[in-house]
Amino acid sequence: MKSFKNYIALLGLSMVIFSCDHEENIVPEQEINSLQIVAIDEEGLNISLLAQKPLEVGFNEMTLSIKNENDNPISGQGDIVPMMDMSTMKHSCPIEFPAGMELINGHISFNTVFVMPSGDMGSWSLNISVGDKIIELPIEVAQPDQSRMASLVSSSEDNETKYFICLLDPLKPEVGQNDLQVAIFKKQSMMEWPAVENLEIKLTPWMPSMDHGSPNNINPAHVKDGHYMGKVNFTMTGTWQINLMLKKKEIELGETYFEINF
Amino acid sequence: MRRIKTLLTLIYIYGVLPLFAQEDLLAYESWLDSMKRENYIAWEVMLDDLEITDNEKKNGSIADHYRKYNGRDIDQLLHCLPGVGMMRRGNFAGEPLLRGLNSDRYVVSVEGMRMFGACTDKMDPVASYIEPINLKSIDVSFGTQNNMAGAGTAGGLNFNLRKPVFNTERPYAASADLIYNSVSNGFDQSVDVNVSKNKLAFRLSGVHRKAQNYLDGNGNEVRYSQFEKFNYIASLVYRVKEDQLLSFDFIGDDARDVGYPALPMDVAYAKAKMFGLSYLLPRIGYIKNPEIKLYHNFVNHAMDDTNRDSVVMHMDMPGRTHTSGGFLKGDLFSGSKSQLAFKIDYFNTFARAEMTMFPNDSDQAEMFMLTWPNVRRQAAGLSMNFDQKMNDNWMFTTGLRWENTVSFISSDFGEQQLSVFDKTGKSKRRNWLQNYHINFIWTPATSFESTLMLAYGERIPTISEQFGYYLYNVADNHDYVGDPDLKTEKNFHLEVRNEYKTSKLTISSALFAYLFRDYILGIYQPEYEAMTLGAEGVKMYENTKRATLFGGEVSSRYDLNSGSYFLMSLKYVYGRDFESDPLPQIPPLKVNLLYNLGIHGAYLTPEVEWSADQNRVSQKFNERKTNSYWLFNLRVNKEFFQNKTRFEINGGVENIFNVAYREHYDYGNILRPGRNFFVQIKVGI
Ligand SMILES: [Cu+2]
Ligand SMILES: [Cu+2]
Repeated sequence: MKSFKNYIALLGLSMVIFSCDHEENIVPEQEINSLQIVAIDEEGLNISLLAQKPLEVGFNEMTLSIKNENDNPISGQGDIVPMMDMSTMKHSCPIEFPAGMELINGHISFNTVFVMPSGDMGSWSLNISVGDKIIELPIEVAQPDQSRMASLVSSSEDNETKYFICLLDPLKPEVGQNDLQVAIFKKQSMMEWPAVENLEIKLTPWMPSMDHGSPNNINPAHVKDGHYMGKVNFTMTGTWQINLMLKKKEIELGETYFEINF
Repeated sequence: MRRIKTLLTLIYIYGVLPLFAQEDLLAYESWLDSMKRENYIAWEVMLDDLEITDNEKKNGSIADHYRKYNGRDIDQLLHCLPGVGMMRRGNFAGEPLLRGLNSDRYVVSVEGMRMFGACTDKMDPVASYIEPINLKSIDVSFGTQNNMAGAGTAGGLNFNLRKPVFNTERPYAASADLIYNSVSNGFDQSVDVNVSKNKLAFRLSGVHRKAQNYLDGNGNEVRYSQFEKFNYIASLVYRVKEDQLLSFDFIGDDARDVGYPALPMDVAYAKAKMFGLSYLLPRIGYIKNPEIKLYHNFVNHAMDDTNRDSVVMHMDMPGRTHTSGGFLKGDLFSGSKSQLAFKIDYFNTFARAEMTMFPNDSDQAEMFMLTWPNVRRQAAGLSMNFDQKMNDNWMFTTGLRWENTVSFISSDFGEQQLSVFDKTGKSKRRNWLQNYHINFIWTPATSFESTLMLAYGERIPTISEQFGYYLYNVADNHDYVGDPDLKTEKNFHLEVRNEYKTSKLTISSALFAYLFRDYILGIYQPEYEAMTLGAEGVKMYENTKRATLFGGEVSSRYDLNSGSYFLMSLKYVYGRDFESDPLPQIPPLKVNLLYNLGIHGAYLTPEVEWSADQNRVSQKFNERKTNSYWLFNLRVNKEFFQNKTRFEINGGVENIFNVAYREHYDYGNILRPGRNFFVQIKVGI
């Protein structure tokens, strides 16, 4: 996985170098997000949504590509609001723009944490604002076999704030030391889902079928925008649980885990 | 004449002695008389009981007795030797302990060929691949004396194989052997054929052994103590020229369904194959009596728990090793008063062991680990020994060994595993090992000889100590993790040996001290958690500051006029670790006494063995005290000839009073066998 990322970075870098002549900036994410999820033509805009894999509950990295009728990339400010319509009510979910909200060469990258799947309960869409136009892009969000998102409500806090914890890394877990990355958000209102930056996390990997953990793990610490990085060790292949205890100013908020298989 | 110049023995056996030029031979014999022994080999146990040549020698030593009366299997034979004990995990494949130190610390070889067992739990010490019927002799050395064997800190065990014999008077010879042990309802059969014709001689042998569960001294059946094995050998000697020999040996060993009651697992199969090719000639340039040898061997081992009743989790644990190497040895200088011998040797070895665990909950994935992550090792060594006779009373011998080793792993998966401990195994670890010794031998009278020995030696960590990954040790109930960055272990060895010998009485004694530095020991790591279900914790191998062992052996033989004799032997070791606590698995004081009574060509041998309590136990190793015990045995032996056929019958009762006992160093809480009636019939033509 690491080498893949390096390769992408290298590819991106070389493209930046070679593309200087053309005065273009190529967004590297475009290379990663190569799977077209959905595309529409509306209000004179040709919009396509790209991702690494079909959208699912949890953390999704995506890129929007917006062009006009003449197939020229659009530039300017953009905004995206994910929205779930549950007929009796509507709510959004966490979203982040790691490279800003500017459309560059017709592209804007963003990450979204879908907190529930599409289905009988309701349907997801992305509300996209470009210039003065607002376009609703319906999307399908599936429930993955192995969830990489967990939520918890803490009784030691206000018994009401709901935290959403996403497992970003390891994407492809291996025996030995793995990078661990989680992103944590909370639900402040139906429409506000800010990143949570002031937590402490205690990490305990666990192998349930043998009742053992692993040594020398590094607890994830906050890096930026609710993203926490650490190291997780696996001493063998098999089914592991990554247990995370969340703490806020010495108060234990609660524990959650992700199960992974490799 | 207890210890004989190995090379000469070999030549005797080959039957080429008369082919040497007469003056060479005379020089050799006078040399032998002056030297008496190879000082670095403590015991050379001659085992040619049914030797077909006429060169049979009566040496009347203590070891000579044991090979005749206790040579039914290799465990039993080794167990009797002074300074040696057999650590058991079941009724099969004991691990020899040399003065209380296990096979991690000494060098094991078969005819100088290095070999490594393929079991991470040491179910297959190399001795288990050798059968007594195929042995000419066993060289036992202690401490850092024997620099020729390789780099170890606790000595060496070398098994010399029986060779095909050139015998013009009897071109065909054969022997057969049948053994029954009542305690395990075990039958052993073996056959052995020797054929010699002109320039070619060969020997074939086959052994089959099968035993059921044995009964301990309380009359309880020890479950999972059964075993079955086949061993087969083909040896070939070709006389290239009058004084040049080409020799080839093949050994195959195939054990199956072997139970290890002290361990959580058994063995589905353990297979070993060895190939050795050597060339002997009188001289190459300046080198006298050189031997050139090339060899290869491999071991496949599969552990199995499918026959156990209550398995918490089913596991597959296969392991394998293969080793190739060669050596050149000979004398650079050999005169009537001094000799300079050398050996250049090289080997490389590969070891891989894996562990697949099958969870009881079928939703959970299979689990996999590499317990020996494709470990590769190479070692090249140079040994030199110089012996000088000063005058009629004094001689000294001195020697050195330099060895360069490289160790690394070649598995990416193994490298990932090590990242958990922030270690790497792929980068090559090189070590220079050094070994030096000097012995002063004082012979003030023909009946007395005293030897002072000073020696220093080093060893690299074993494969498990360096690269083992969560290896479970049932003895202290901990998982062991290796450390790739371990330093070498050093031993300063001091020893005094005395021997008083008259025609009636022999008393020999050895007193030794081992002063270890960087002694490699598993140290409990409170911050780590056991992997094995039920294990208490994790130990990591570390270079502990020091360890000290001292002790000794006394043995004596007293011959009566009637041809009967008494034998007595005593062994004791005291060991303490870096915190002055007792070292684990150290045998207590043990005394053996026997009387060999000759009546009408038969021998009747009552035996007593007494072992003291062991109250010095290692708490770090979860050891318990072990009680003292007395054992009584009675053996009878009768040999006779009918026409040209030789018969030998051994029989008797071991553990007559059915004592329930265990040796302190045995694994688990398993008792040793109770009363055993045995009979052995050998026929030789
Ligand atoms: Cu496990
Ligand atoms: Cu094994």
